[in-house]
Amino acid sequence: MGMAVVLEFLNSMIRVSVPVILVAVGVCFSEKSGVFAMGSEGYMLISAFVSVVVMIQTSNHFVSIAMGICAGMAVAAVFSYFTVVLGADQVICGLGSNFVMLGLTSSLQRLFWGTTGIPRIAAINPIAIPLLSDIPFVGNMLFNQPFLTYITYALIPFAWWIMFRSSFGLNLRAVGENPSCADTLGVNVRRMRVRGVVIGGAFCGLGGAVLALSQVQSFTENISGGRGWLGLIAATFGGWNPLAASGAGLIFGAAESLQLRLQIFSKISISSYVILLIPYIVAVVFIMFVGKSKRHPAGLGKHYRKV
Amino acid sequence: MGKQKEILLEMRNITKRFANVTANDDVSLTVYKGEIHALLGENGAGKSTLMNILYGLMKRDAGRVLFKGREISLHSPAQAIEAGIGMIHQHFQLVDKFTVLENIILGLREGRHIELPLERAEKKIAALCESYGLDIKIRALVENLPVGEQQKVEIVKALYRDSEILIMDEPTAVLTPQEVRKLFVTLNRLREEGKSIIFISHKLPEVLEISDRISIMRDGRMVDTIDNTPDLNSRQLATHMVGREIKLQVEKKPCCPGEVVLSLDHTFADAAGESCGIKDISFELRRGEILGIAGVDGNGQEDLSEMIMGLRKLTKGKICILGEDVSNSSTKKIRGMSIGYIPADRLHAALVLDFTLKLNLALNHPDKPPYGNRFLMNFKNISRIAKEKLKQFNVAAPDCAELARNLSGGNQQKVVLAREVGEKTDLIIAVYPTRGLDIDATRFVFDTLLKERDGGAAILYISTELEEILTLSDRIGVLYEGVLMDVFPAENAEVEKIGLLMAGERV
Repeated sequence: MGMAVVLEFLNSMIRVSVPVILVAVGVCFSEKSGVFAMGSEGYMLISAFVSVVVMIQTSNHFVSIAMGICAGMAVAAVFSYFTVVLGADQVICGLGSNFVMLGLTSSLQRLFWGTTGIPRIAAINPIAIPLLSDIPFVGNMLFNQPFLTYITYALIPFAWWIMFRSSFGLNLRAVGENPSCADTLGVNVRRMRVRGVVIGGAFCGLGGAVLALSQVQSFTENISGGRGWLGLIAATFGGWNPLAASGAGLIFGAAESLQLRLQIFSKISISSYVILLIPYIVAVVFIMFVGKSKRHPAGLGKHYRKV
Repeated sequence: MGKQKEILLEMRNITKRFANVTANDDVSLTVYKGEIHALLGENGAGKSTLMNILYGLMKRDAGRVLFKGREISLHSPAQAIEAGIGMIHQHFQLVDKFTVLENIILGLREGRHIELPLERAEKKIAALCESYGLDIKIRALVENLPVGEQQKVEIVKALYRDSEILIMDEPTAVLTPQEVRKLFVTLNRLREEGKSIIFISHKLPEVLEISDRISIMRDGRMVDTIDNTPDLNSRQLATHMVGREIKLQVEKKPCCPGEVVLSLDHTFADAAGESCGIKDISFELRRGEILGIAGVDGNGQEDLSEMIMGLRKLTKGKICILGEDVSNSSTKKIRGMSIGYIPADRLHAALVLDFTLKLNLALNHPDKPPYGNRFLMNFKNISRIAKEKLKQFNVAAPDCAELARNLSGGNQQKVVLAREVGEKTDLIIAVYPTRGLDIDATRFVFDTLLKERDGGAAILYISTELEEILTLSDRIGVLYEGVLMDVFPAENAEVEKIGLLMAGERV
C-alpha cells in the first residue's frame, strides 16, 4: 500500500509539473532576450481556453494543441509589439495582458456556456512505453505518462541546445546581455527580442493546452491559477537555463502533487485551505533564495533604442 | 608605409546636422591601404560622428563613401562589416558573460548551419592570431580578462570578419603605458599585413609616434591632412587642432609643503557594485602640495574620493582633516570644513543640470551665510556672488539664470570649479577634473589648481591621464585595485615604473 502511494505520487508529480516546466522554459527564452515574461499567466489562460474550445469542436488533440500554441504566440506577439517595438513598460504590459486574458476568457466562457460551465472533454490516457515502463521504481514514474509528457521530455534538451549551442541562441542571449554590442555586430535587436517573446508565448501556450486538455479536462475560470508565475519563478531560480529551470519546475510540481494527495487523505486534519497553499509557500521560499544569488541578463527589462 | 599608395577608402563631402549643430560640415577623408591614419581633434570636433557614419551607426545628410573605388551604402553596421569596415569602440562592445570565442562569432551567419561553428571558428581564430602575432585565451570569459586583453578580442573580432580597415576610437584611453606599447606593436604588425587603421585620438605624442598621416578636425570641419614627417612636432599639431598658437607647458613654482591637511591611516572601504573598494591606504597630504593619484580607470579612484568625503563607509582605519578625526563623519560635516570637492561624474554628482547656474553655485552650503540660513535662502546674495564667480572663472554663459544643462562641458566644469574652489580652501579633492575638456579648458583647470596650491591649499589630484599627473603633481601615488601601490616624489617619476605599478606589479 505504502509503495503504491509513493509510486502514484511520483507519477503524478511528473504529470503535474509539465505545464509549469513548459512555462519556465518559455520564460527562459523571453527573458534571455531581455524582455520580462510577466504575461506568462495570460498566455496560458488564452491557450487553455482556445484549445478546449477547439477540442470540443474537432475532438482532435493535435489541432487543439496547435491552436492553443498559436493563441499564446499571438498574445505574446501583441505584447512584444507594445514592449519591444513601442518601448512600453514591460512589467505593466505583462500584468495588463494577464488581466485582459483573465477577463476575456472568463467572459467568453460565460457568454457561450452560461452558468453550466464548459463540458468535460475526453481524458488523454497515459501511454506505457514497453520495456522502459517496466524499470522498477522510475519506470512507472517516467514512462507511463500522457504523450504530452514525452513531448516535453524532448523539448527541454532541445530548448537548451537552441539556447546554448545554436547561432540563434547566441544572438538571443547577446541581445539580452548587451543589445548595443549585438547591434554593432549587425544583429537585429528588435527582431531577436520579438522572436524570444513569441517563442516564450509558444511554450506558455503549450503549457496552457496541456493543463486544460490533459489535467483539468475542461476550462474553468482562472484555470492557470498562478502557474504562469510559478514558471517565472522557476526560470529565475534556474538562472534562465532551460535544464535548471525545468528542475525547479519539477519541485513546484512535487508541491502541487503533494497538495492533491493530501486533499484525498481526509484522515489528515489540516484545513484544505492550508493544503492548497503548499505550492505557493514553496514558491515564496524559492523567491527568498533567488534574491541576490542570480545574475539576471544585463539587459533584462531595459528597452533598447537605437541612437 | 604604403609606398604604392593605393586608395582604400574615400569619404567625400560628408555633412551631418543635428538639431542645432552641424557635426560634420563638408568633411572629406582619404585612407590608403596599409597606413595608420590618425584622426585628431578635440572633443566635439566631429571625429566620432564621422566614424559613426562610416560604420553605419548614423545616417549622413550629404556626401558619398567610396570603398575600393565603389560607392557603398551604409545604413547599418551590418553593411559596414560586410564591406570590410571594422570598428573598435572606446567602450568595448563585448558581452561580458560570453566567452571570447562566443563574442568573436556573435552575429555571424555562416551558411545555413543552425549549430554554432565552434570548432571551425576556433581554428580560424588560432590561424589569425598566429599570422598577426596576437595571443588570446579563446575559452575565457570576457569579464575575467584585463582591459588590454579585451581590446585584443575586439581586434580579432574585426579581423575575423575580414575587415580591411579598422576604426579605433581612442584605443589608448583605457590602457597602461605598457599595454599601449603592446598595442602599438600589434598595430604596426597589422599595417605590415596591409590593413588600414583609422586611429582616433586627442593625444599628440601618440599620434606622432604611430601614424603615417594625420587628419585634423576642428568644429566639424576637416582642417588639414598632413604627412607625419620627423620634423612635425606636438606644438604644430596643437596649433592646427585649436586653430591658434597655444602654450603646452605649465609653469610651476617649486613646492614648499606646510602642515599636514589630510591624513589617511590604514583605511579600508568595501567594494560597491563595479568598484573595487579601498584596501589599506595610508598617506599624508600637506599644504601647498599636489598629490597626483595615477591609475587605470576603475581601480578605486572614486572609492578613495568618496571615502574621504564621507560618501562611502570607512570600514577600518582613520581619516583626519586638519588634525580632526572625520572617520565616518557625515558629508555635511566634512563639507562644512574648507574643502573643495570635484567629483568624477560632473553631470550626475557635481551639478543639477536643470537648476540655474546661480543655484548650482550655491549648492555646497545653501543653508549658511552668505547664501541663506537654516530656513531661508538669500537670493540677492546668491545672484550677486554667482555673477562674480562666473566672471572670475570666465564661464561663457548669458547670465546666472541659465540652466546648467545648456552649457558646454568645459563651462560646466568651470562652474564646478567656481563653486568648489571659489572660496578659501584648505583641501581640494579633484577627480578626473579635465575629463572631456578641450585644451583651453584643461589649461584653465590646471592654472586654477596651481594657484590654489600656491595659495596654501593641499590638493589630491586623481586622474587616469598620466601626462596630467606628471605635469601637475609634486608627489605621485599609483592606485591598483584599491591598493595604493607606492608614493614617490614627482622628480623621481619614471613612466615605465608608473606603468608597471598601474598594472599591479611592484617595483
